[in-house]
Amino acid sequence: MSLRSVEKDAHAYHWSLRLLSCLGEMAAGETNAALLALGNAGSVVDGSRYPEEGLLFANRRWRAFYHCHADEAAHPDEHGHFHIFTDVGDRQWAHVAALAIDSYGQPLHWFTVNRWVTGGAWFETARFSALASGAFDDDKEALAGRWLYAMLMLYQADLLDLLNRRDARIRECCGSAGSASTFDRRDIHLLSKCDVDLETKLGMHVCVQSRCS
Amino acid sequence: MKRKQGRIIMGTAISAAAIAVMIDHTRQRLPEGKNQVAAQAAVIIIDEGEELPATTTGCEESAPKGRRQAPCSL
Repeated sequence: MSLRSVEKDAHAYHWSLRLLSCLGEMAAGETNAALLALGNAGSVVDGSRYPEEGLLFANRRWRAFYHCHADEAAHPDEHGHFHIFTDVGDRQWAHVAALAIDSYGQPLHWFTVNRWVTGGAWFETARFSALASGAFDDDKEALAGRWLYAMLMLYQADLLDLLNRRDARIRECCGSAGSASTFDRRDIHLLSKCDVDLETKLGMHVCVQSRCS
Repeated sequence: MKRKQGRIIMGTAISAAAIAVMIDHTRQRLPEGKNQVAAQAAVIIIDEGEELPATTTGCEESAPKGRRQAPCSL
């Protein structure tokens, strides 16, 4: 068993426990991350962002908002999605990924979109691993932010793959014209997607049964 | 000697059932989505020879420029 593999196991185990801790708090309050982001909104207005100013988390290095809008390509059970951005310096935020949520507040899948959808700086995939390892004081963070960060960390390897597939799709679309020409193409919206099965994922990392088999 | 499975068991172990119950308690219905209220149609009477009003509602211009170009921007 290699050291790298032990590190990966430890990482997954650590973030599984963090995520379980968030889920425990949410379960006690009979809530979930989407409901927390929506606040007291009795109904959700299409296109509006919740919270309006965005949810800052992980030492204000990450920012997200939840919103809903009609999309033919969306999962039939999708209620809305979180758009997640990271601070890339010079007061610039870059979109890393989005997390689709069903009508009961459960995550369905991660996805990436073309740059015209979110605007801002293009997120360089090479930065992801370094960005996703910074420490912060967990107790000062809002529950929805802690949940989002734990999700990002637990799905770190999947997100890296998601971003690599996003980049491959951009390369495939631009041909000889350069990626800048593709970033504004309105016919290219969704770039990559990765299903989420939280129960199985957490079970893989923290359940005795799966460890011993 | 039988080769041991090369996996590490760390600290706390939680049953799959406990995880399922915890997740189930977070399964809470989200409020329904609704479309933005459409601008109310108005009847405009134009006298003969008068200029026609602009056809846009003005909402497009009032939205922040960046948001119009990138619908899911911060």
